[in-house]
Amino acid sequence: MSRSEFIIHATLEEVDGLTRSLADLARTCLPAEKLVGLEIAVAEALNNVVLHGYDGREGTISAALTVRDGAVTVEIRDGGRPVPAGAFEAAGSLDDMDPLVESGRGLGLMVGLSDRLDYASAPDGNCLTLEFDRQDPAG
Amino acid sequence: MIRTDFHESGVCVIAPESARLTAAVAGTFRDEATRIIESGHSRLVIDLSDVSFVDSSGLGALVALLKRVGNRGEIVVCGVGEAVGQMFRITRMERVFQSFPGPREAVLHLAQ
Repeated sequence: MSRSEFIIHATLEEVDGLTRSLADLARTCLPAEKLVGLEIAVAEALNNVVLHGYDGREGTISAALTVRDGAVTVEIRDGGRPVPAGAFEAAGSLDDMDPLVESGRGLGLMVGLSDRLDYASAPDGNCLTLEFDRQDPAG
Repeated sequence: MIRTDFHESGVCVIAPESARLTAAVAGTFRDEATRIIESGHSRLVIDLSDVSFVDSSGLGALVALLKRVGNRGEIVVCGVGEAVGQMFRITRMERVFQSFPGPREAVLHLAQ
């Protein structure tokens, strides 16, 4: 098992750099298509924290990437406003996504591109866990 | 953050000058490209040859440009790489934007 941790200021610029760093760390562990899925899901999660969680306010985001035999896990912690209860469950499937909307794809991409998603919110902060299997069940 | 090439045929090729079309730059890209549309250009090629990653904000910017042009013209994309192509497939954008290998083919299509 290996684990890498990062802490950044909650800005869109730092989020972009962190997304790239996390994807680079997972590069040798995931098939190409799944790696792109991880990068998209992580980008959406981190952007969501900046745009909706902190909503222009200053704050920090911590992220950890853990590689195990079976899966790569990305854990994102923040102290911003939590994702509304039930929002992940209500996110539409990727198949139902309207291609002509200008926003609102983020949660659906996080749910649809990860193999497992867990979200917990407590008074001391929020924690989103995205898990990506290293091998598809069929493979 | 965009490079713009105006062709004699009236077609305009817009290339984001960033390898990542993400939330950090999507708003600026959309605003700069919108100014070109508002100056009278309605046949646009978005050249993504140098773009290696697009998030949903980047897609949102592309859709906003498409809506801005509306039925006055056409927007196509070119140079879509593997990761960007995957995002297009996942979000069904491949049904919305006609895609060409490079700017030459895209300009030829719009110039017809």
